[in-house]
Amino acid sequence: MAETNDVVENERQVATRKPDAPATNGRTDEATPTELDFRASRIDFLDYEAGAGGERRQSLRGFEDHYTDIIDYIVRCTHRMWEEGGVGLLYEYYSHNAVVWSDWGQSYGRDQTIEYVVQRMAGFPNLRIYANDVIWAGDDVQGFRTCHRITQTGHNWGYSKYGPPTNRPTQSTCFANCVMRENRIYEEWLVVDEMTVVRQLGLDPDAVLRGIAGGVLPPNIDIVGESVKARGQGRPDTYVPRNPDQPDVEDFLRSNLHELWNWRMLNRISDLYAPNCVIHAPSGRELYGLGDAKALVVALMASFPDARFEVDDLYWNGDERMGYRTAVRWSLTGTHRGVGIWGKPTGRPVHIIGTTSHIIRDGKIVEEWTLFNELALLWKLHYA
Amino acid sequence: MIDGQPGSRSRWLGASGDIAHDIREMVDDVWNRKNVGLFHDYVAPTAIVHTSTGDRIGPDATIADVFRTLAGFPDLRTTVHDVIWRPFESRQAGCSASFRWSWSGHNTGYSIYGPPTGRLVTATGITTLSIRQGMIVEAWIAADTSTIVEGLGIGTTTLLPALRANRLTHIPAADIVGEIISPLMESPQVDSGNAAPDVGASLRQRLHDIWNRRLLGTIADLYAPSCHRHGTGGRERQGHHELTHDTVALLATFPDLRLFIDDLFWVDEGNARYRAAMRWSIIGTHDGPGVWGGPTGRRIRITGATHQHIRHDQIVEEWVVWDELSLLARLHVPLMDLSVDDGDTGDAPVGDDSTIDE
Repeated sequence: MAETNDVVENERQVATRKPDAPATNGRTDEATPTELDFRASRIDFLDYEAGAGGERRQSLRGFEDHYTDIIDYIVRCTHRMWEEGGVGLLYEYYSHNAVVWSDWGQSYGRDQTIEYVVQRMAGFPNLRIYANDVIWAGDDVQGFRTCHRITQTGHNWGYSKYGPPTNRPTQSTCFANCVMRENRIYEEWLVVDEMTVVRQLGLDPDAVLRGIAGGVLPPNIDIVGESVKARGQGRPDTYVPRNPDQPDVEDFLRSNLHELWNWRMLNRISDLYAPNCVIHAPSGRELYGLGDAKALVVALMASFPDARFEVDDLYWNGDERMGYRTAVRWSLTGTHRGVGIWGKPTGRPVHIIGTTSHIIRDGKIVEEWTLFNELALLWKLHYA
Repeated sequence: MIDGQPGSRSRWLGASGDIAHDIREMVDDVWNRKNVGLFHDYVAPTAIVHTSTGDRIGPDATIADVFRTLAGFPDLRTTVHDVIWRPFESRQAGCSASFRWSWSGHNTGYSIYGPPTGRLVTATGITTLSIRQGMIVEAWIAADTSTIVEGLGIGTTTLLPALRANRLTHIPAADIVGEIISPLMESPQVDSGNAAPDVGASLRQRLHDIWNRRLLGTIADLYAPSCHRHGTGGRERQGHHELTHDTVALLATFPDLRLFIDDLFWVDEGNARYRAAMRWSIIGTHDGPGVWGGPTGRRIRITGATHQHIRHDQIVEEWVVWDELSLLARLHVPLMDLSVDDGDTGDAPVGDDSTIDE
């Protein structure tokens, strides 16, 4: 072989690379203090309310005085806007030109988000938004990034985008990734498991999609470039570790995910995952073990054979002893050229945004929540 | 054991300094005295409760489940038979506890199984709790619901359509299924540096030998000759021969079966006596004959929990709980079909109910 294969060379290194370095959290050289970790802080919403207006736990320049830290901000401002009905607080908590991205398109400015909230409330009047985790990075100068993993519940008592009331209860997962500074969110990526909701409502996705008006903006499908996995006749990039001499959460994930997805090195699955890993996948799929983990990746690769996977943002909380909890915002571009779960090949190019949160213990992923909006994906492939 | 009272709650697990006592107290209060609302003190608002019919979140969902059961069985009495716990580690980690329970009552009210039958039924189960700051933050409920259905005189065949239609039973999509990858010959990690034999490592190793390496002869090493297993579905087994046959039968139904121990902790009683609790998963392909009909070729996961009494390195008594009804539902419900362009979404072929042995 004239050429050495960087990936194969990396095999040995990757095997010894474990994410047990001090968490740098993309911010400073210090680990996140434990009291500012979601899992170690307040358990009950009442504890957040009781602590409101207390002593600041971290510097929050420009935030309202009663917020003590960034987790407190996310948990209580969500509750105030959704559960307590203070929808107009969006004027305080979102910037005038805030952008919310989802697989339905882009929502621009506060008023579109306010309309979205009210429409959700009309369809599901007893909507509850529970925080399962808040992973964060950054500071009040350069801006905070937060990954809010949510379980939403609510009865479909009203008219919604899915049709007339079904009176059925729903429970689904959602990720809201926000970037904020001085009390205001200025960009957000929203990933909702709508297919789970449609199924819980007892509806036929086909009928729902025929009736859906679509996204805020129609996706541009008339001018498209190829999905670039490699340059010209070359091969995919080689991941350069940022911290080659010591184990590092970011290198562990970025190198393995890049080689898994873009090199199609499916054997990276066993480098990434523990044998009894649990993966909470879209549409309520509960996957277990290395085989299922591989099947999820293969299902996407088979449907989108030229898929390119890109990590758009990555940060984490936690430590070696308790395990790291990560927030990975990613996108996948590809052409719907293969058979698979999402119907007969349509040849359409798609861009999927998704969020994954891992729990990493002893150098392996033991639990993971992965989400992308399958209902929006089907719409883009077959109905848009 | 617990790091102080959480917030403003009047009750919390660990308040007495004895987690076992507090769990018994909680169960008695909620189920027998029907102070069900106390779950607001004990269960965190974002607690995830894993049941065989899907995950529930928060105290309200759990309270609703309790009332659904109480309505069907008004004279229901619940007993906690044992509590096994993992001591408090840190504020972040909290502690874990596993308790074995049973309830019995007359079905004189309407339940999720239908109109009243008047029959007396008993259900058993093992619930594993993850506890932080005195509150339940995650729970796994393994319940032997087949004894309820049997006790009510309802055949599983008639129950299947009901299970499918039951909107509380959210059967997840089963269209992403991978091969079974397991380190078959690789032993689970054993801390060889530890002079005293580690109960957990030894159990993991020996269960791995029996189930994954298919060395059924080692059942005689792990289990005492008179060992009694209280199996799911009310199956009482005693002695090496019966225990071995249990394993053989399951391996015949799921020939590529692999067992994973997802969590394991134990209480040391001294004098080489231990009480161990574990949560486990079995994955396998339904490729052989057995009591659940088929074979359907479905690759499934069964989750369950086990309590064991260990004396001088051998299991002398064992309680195994998993939900057979949930297995039946998952083996025989139609697959989710997203192929929208075929125009017949949701009409995938239905499993053949007639082959299911009641």
